[in-house]
Amino acid sequence: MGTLSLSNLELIDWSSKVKLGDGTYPAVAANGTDVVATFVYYYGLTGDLYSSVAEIR
Amino acid sequence: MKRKLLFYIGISVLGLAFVASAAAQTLEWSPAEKFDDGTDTAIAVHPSGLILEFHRTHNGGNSLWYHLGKVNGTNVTWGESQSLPDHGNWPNVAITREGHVLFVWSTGAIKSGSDLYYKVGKLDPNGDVNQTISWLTERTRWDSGFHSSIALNDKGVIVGVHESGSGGVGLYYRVGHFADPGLGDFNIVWDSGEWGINYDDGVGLPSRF
Repeated sequence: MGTLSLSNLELIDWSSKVKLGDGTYPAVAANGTDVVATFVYYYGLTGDLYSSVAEIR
Repeated sequence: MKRKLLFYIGISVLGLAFVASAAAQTLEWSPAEKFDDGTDTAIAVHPSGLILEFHRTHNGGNSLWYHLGKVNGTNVTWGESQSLPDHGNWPNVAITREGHVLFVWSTGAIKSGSDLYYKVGKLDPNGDVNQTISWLTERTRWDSGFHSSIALNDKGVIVGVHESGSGGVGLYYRVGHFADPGLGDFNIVWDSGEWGINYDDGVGLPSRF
């Protein structure tokens, strides 16, 4: 109880790289149906927040 | 011979199925849409489709803000920007199936002198995008450190990870649970011990140092 078995982590078979956008600080979460990503795009000193959605098939 | 041939045909079909399955995992992202100004964004999604997005102000300050949202076809319907009750950097968020919100953040904009805090709140997972988080705990320090991330599962196991704080190097984790949700006690009991456990070397974003 209270420890993690990090040695059991499996390698991820990544799909081909697809560009989501230009930006930094990406974040992503999913709920089994949809996956939502947010990221920041800096325009000068102003950070703009963007979101994008994809369906998990 | 015939049996061998059928075996090889079967393997080939299975192989093609795997190839098709892998190809199907490429996501079709909707066009990115601007929803606010800010930085240090973090996100969690409830099975109901309710989205929580936490971020820091973009103008160099350390006020923290959140949005709730709902997936609406190929875009997100975002609620209004609402302020979080604490200031800091690198907010991160997780939500339980019951709608309990676990919010963590770093006090420092750089590693030196930074501490990690958490706060637990409640949302209606089936509520609208302009509802407000009801906070159930005080802000609670859980470690020194920087750039934390938090996750929990349906069994109530909480895992927090972060960079070391002042003078340290490497990445640390803790495992815990809410003390007694049935009695409304959502303070975290850290089952992994009093201190974070080092699990690897690494840092977050060098541009922040």
